[in-house]
Amino acid sequence: MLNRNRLYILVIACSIGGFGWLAWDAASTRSSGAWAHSIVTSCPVKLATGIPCPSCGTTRAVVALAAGDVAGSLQLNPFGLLIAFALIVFPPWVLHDVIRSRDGFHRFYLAFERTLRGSRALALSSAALVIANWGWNILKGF
Amino acid sequence: MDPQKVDMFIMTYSKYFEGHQIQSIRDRLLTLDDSKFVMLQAANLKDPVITLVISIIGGNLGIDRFFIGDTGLGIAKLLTCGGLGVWAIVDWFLIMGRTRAVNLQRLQQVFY
Repeated sequence: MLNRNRLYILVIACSIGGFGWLAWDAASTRSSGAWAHSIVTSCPVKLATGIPCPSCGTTRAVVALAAGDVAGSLQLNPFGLLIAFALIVFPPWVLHDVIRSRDGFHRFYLAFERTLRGSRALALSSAALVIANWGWNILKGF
Repeated sequence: MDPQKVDMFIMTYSKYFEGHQIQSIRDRLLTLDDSKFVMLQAANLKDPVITLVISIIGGNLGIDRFFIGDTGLGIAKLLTCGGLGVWAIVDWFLIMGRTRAVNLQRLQQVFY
């Protein structure tokens, strides 16, 4: 079980990393006209095997979502929707908890983990969706 | 608990915990009721070396985190392609310590 402070440090670090990556991606797209990850492939799975991983295309999906293209974003990778939601909701929630000395996000995280671990059907269907998305990614040729 | 059983447990699982924790675990086990031994065997402790191997092979998909029971972080790693590969590499160095911490938590659940 992850303790509150460790979880909050992780969420804040991931958020800074995520927004930093998006900002760098946007800047390099503006300056060179190419996607940042077409210059630097960040995914070691793809570098090692040439096969895209289930989350390939997520940056492009989040960027498409930011431009208002929901259908295009889902077409690129449905994970983009989840990542965008997490990037918008989680950092303010964690900052609110830190400032007010509360643990609402931590309790939500533990309840989420308990739900997923408690329900085999939910865990299996989520895994099936991820594998289906992976297959779709490979077919798309990312 | 019978000292022989405790020593057998410690010998088998000493690598599953931090070195400085072994003595206090042994002391606590000695005060434990014998009926808890079965629960102790079923505590589902994870081998840190196996976790490291999983982390090297499937860390990008968050499989190492799923394996030790950090489901939320596993999903986060899966969705972000192992934190753009960076988190996956950082976890090669952290995952053994985290596995030992999770093992201690599972043992404490048996104690209380």
